[in-house]
Amino acid sequence: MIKLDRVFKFYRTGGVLKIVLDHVSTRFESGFSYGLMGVNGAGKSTTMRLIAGTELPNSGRVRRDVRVSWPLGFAGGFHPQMTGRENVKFVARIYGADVRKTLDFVEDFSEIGDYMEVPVRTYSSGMMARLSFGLSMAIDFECYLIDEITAVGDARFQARCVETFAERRKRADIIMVSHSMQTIKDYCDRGGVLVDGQIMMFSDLDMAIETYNRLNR
Amino acid sequence: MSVRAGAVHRFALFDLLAAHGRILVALIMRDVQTRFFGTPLGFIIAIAWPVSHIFLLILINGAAGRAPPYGDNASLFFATGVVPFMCFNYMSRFTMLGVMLNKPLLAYPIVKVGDILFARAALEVLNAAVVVIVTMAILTAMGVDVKPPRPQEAMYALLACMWLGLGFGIVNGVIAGIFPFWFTPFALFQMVLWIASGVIMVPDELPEGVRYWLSWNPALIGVEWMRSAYYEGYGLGELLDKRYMLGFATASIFIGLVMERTMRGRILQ
Repeated sequence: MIKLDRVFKFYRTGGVLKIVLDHVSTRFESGFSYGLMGVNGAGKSTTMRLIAGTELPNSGRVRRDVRVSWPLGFAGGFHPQMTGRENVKFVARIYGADVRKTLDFVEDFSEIGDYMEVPVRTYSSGMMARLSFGLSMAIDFECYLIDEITAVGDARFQARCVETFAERRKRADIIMVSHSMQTIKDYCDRGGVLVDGQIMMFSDLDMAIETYNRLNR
Repeated sequence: MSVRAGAVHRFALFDLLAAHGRILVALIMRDVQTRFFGTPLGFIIAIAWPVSHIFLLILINGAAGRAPPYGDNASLFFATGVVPFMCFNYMSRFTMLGVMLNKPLLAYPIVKVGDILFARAALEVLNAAVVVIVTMAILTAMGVDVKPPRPQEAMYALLACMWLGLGFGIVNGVIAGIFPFWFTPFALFQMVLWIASGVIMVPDELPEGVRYWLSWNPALIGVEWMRSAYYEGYGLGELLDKRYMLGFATASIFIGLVMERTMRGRILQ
């Protein structure tokens, strides 16, 4: 379970105060996958980073008792100066996974070939997402955070993603941000809508989508 | 029930320690591999760099051909100043650089700023040990008698210098994590410290007013400490205040860790 306890998060950009989460308390229960929806700029990605722990709240706490992935998305969680291979080795080590096996899996899965030996900063966003996705599938996470990662690679690669992911879904949960309601319906059982610094949680996904659609009108 | 909860708690602590151990090892391995130019030879360069740095300084100061400021061997006098200063300087510089260079790795949620700081520090202790041994070997080959009359004191002096460097490194690393431009003023400050640490002179021979101001410099005490291990009767003036140096170092480590705790969020942004 991931628990947000009075989480307050704001940004100050050019003197303008932007409140992302205004003392939000909510929980993401284990055994359920959540779709997180919100209009552009509502703070979905920031919320994902807060859940992952790669960003900290200004006050309040985020508690996790499951192993949470880094937010998967086009930005990737990679060190730009390190090669793909170095990043994979590093991640395998920090999560206590077998380095050799992880490398084999990621090389095979991401299909970026010789680019494994090149610094990640030279990658296209698609390659980055492939590596990020492959690497996260190689590590056993209990909860995957997915930030708008739906259309990566060609149809064949996508089919493999869906297949691998479906397998992983049997053991792991997802918290997903997407603008595609179909994707959210495919993967999630519950929904949260981010609006005005609050998260409205729905145990019924259709109601969440309906609320989101009403906001969008 | 409470027993079970306790057991669960212990395992959680064990897991946490194991996880941090793994992260430290991964960070150290990464640093060894990428510290210089990202080549596997990097580790050799990491040793050769400070060693040549030390000998360049010894050569420049020895080439003037003037009589050693103290004792009867100029190389030994400069070495006993340069080596402790380098132990302090490299420790602080690379602990701080570690935060700047490894900041992107914080994108992996289980890597914390503290892991980066301590991985760097651990690596730097190993580096320094090798650098000191290599330096002593070269000096011996040059015909300098490097065995100090008080070896234990020399060891304490080097450890104290690294302890001080750790404190400087953590405080400045946290600042540099938030303001990357901090490296430049830090480097300038290190130069001032170099001049003010009595590496190439005998501070006790300076005028009273200068000595008063130098007595605030904890790095100078490290140098004095080292020389007191080599030279009989050296550093008997009031400058060699070991308690001040160790207190300064411990306080800055403490302050640095408090800063890390309170400014963690800003480093991540």
